[in-house]
Amino acid sequence: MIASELSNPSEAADPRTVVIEARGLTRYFGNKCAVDSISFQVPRGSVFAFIGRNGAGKTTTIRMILGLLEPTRGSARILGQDSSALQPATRARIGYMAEGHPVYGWMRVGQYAGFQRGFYPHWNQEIFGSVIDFFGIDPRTKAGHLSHGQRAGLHLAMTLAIEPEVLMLDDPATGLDPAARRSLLEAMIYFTRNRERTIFFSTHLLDDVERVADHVAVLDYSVLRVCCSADTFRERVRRLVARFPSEPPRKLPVIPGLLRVTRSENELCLVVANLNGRTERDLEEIGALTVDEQPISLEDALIAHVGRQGDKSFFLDTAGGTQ
Amino acid sequence: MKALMWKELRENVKWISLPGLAILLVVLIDKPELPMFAATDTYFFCAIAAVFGAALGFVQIFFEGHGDKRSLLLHRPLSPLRIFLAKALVGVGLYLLALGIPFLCLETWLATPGNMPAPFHWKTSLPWLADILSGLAYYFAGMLVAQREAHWLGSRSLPLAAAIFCSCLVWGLTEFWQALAAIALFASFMSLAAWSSFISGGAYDRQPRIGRVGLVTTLLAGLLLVSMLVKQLIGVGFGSEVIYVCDLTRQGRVLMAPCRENDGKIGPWLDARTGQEATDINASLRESRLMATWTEMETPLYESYRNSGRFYVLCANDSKPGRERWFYDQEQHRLHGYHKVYNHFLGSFGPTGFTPAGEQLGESFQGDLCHRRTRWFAFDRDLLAFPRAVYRVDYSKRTIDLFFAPAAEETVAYSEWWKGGLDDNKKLAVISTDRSFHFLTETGEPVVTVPRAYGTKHGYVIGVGMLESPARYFVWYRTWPFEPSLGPEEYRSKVFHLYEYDLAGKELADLDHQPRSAEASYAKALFGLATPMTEAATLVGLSESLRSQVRSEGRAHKPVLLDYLFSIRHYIPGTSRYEQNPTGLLPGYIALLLLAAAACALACFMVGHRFAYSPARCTGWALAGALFGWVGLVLMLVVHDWPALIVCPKCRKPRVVTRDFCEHCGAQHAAPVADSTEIFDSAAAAPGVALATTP
Amino acid sequence: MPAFHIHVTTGAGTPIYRQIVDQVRLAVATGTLSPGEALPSVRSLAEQLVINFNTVSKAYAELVREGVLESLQGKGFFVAQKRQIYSRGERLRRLRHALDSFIHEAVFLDFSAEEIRKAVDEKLAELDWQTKPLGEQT
Repeated sequence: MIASELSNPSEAADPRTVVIEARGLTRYFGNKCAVDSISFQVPRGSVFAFIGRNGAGKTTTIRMILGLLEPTRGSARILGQDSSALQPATRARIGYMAEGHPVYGWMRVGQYAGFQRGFYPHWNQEIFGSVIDFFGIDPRTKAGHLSHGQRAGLHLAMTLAIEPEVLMLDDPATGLDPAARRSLLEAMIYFTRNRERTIFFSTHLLDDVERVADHVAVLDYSVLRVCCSADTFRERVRRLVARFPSEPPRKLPVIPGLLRVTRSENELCLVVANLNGRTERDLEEIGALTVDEQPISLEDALIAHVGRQGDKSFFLDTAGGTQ
Repeated sequence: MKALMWKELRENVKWISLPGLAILLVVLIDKPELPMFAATDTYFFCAIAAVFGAALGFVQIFFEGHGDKRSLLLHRPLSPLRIFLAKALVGVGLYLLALGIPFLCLETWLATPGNMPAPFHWKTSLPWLADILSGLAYYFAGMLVAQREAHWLGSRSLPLAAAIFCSCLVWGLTEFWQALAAIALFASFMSLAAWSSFISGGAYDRQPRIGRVGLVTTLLAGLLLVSMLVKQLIGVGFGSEVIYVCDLTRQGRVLMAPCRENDGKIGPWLDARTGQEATDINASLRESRLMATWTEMETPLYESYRNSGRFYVLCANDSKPGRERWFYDQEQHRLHGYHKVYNHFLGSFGPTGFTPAGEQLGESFQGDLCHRRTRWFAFDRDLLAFPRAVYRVDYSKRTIDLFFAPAAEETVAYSEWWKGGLDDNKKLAVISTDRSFHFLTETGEPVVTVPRAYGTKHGYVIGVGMLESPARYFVWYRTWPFEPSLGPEEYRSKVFHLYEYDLAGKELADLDHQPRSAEASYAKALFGLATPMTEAATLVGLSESLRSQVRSEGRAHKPVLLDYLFSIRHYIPGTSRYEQNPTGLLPGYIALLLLAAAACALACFMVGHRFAYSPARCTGWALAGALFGWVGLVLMLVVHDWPALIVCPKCRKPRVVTRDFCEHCGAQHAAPVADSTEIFDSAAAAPGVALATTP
Repeated sequence: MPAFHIHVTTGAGTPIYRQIVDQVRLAVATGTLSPGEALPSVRSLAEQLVINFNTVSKAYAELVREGVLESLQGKGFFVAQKRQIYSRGERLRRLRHALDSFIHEAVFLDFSAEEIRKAVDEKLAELDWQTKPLGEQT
């Protein structure tokens, strides 16, 4: 499938409808390309999931969007301003939770509220207080003594208390226990009560994506391969089950868009993107008895896309499988 | 911004007592008995300020310089400038407190009478103050070291070298205000460099222009220091500097011998008159009994705000009781005494007599005390020689006598004791005036007077003493190895004069001789390859201008900076006093220097061209390569971030990744290869998404 | 009447909005939800289930389109009065379609016709079938 042709509109997108825009954003570290020419738009009011494997370039992209890292090439805009020249007033409208939840370890939680509110024009102490309470944090504790989940809670409290327009979350749920994760998701949904607010988050937890995201983007080791609404993604990724009389053949025909293949005794299960009619015929040609389509959840579809192996299998196949 | 300053304060206030503790430790180990500390203590205090400054700057930036911690700091509704200012203001404030409080405490303690057996002037605190303030340069250097992501470990610590350069200037410059100016200059451009590196996260190209200028200047200063030091080390280590030294036997035979500087070996001795080897002397291994003794007189005074001789000169003679300390106070022009143990003021001597403590001070001495200084201190004085009178003090009896008064048209230049003769049993006082040399007994009885052949401004130091068989006096006009008023050529061509006088003062003989100088090795020309032309020109020019300044002032004072500049002789041919230049050495050196400059200019230009710099930028760096030689080239390599190069899909040449269009053919970058799993829709995909088709 | 709860699972083959639609339809069909009863607002259902607002909106929109729910301006969503919007022919067509999938699956699983019928009866009994089929609509 060939994507749209190269076009370079010189005007930026309207910030009323597009909150974040990346254009040809590229970043090299030394000779290694971490982010290769990615372009996307985040519509206002969406919950945008940014997915990729470890080391794919997600944190780098987020930092470039926030103007914390200079791109090697290309540009990004957020809230109508160029990322490399964000005004302080604009930063007040963006809430950012960095991966790893960095905190100033020596500050007590209560002091933290006082410290943070000194910077921001809006500060909702009630929200801060209620999130802190929810995570069971004693305001007298030093931030460095909090558990990982509680640190995330503190970060969340600080980020939500400023009542931002855009939430940028970098892997917010890593290291959180299920209850904390659920609380985080609840907070995200609560945040989107105001339909003018947008969430942009990167994550590994794909069941969360199925719940809350309405747009997805997949970064495959520096290349953006997917950027669409969740519905579109579901439509275009399909699971095919081909049944064979005996063991399925080793060598498969070239299947465009093949994401993942699993073999069992007389079955081949393929997850394919952008399915076209030829694939079914090709499978029948190599001996499939039936080729059926089976439903696939968004989570599984994303896992297949992110962890694409094409026609390689992780497991070392011995002839005949288990004896 | 206040909140940020509060955070910085809370995080760093815990370090504030460290310098104070270190200073206290030094003071306890080595209790200061003089307002200007002993050399090791001064170095320690300087090092404490430097290390603390650098560490503080480093610690403030390093833990928040990169990654998520940096995001936490910078993603705030506060401009990066104010974020940096919050850090810098708190850092500088804490630094000044951490060092200022011990400084004030110690100086107040020293100033309080009864704590120190020495006179106190507030200006004696200036050297330490200058070292403390120079710590600010180290502070910004520490910030730069923490922030810059440099390719090579060495280049990362270059800002520290720049701070050391600042310290060298602070130590070498003559007046305090000059040192302050140097500190202000370095602190300005280093703080600009630290600020702009901070806001750009260590990368170079996106820094504001003024910040880049600051950074380039800082690294340039560091590299120049490294350049000079390394060349000096090589010159000293591999060079074989040979200096001819002169000596005199008791019989009056002038000898000279080459002395190798790196192993100190002297020999063989030659007769200066004939130039032949003095075999008998060499055979007897030059026992000290054979040599005459003389006193050296009339060396120019080292001049520096750091020299204690500006404020006091320690005075003593045989009559001084053990528990007393006597200082000639340069400000009061009187001789003050202190009890060594109980520190109280004993009283002071003036020309008219002794005034005990508590009484009003009497008349002061007229004119400047003639004395001699090392780089940082004054030598002790025995006789007190002033332009119109020489005094001798009896400390135990508390009396002061006029030892010698010159004739109406004479002015005393210097005074010293001479001890010599067999078994050192003879002792004479020698007093030089602008016209003659007077020899007196220990009690002040005149013995003989001999005329002066060369005046005080001539550039000679004088050696005076007695010879034997027959007994006679001599005055030897020699050059001083550290002479500030003579350039290399003049120094080498200056003739030594040995005058001999009989016991009545009549001239007996007058020997002119000139010590030889070795020839410099041709290998020295090789330094031209590693010397920036600006460095060579500045060092040589500065030496010359300082020397002419000394000459115009009548050769009375010597700037310390000239001493520092003396070491350029190891790597710049033609600047050494001790070595002759063989023909072709200087032209060869200059030729190699220009060749290296041209090569570096070309290299800079080509590197810039390869990485697609604008023509103006390439030319600018080529100029830097020409003016600064290898330093310019290394500076270019060290300061820039070098973008990756990839192969252009259209023209197949290497092109930088930072530009949208190829610098050779103008093509765009290759789009990432599609593998038919892409899913885009208009909802979220941006215009401009381009993926190459699969083959 | 058992209380009505929607619960959704991720990782299932059916999309979340589909799960909501199916559960509401089932509840209406079995009488758990009676006509005129109010459903939670989009916002409260989204926050309760912790899913995207748009997903809930989409589910409700489909239910309204199918005639299962009706939306009253400013007041929210209510169970619509029972009426079939499809003609009998259309309904039969849909039933046959659903039957096709079901029978295929059952046959593939190698059940006999007798066993299949027994399973169907059990399921219907389980659902506590109360509603009588409507009369034909013209």
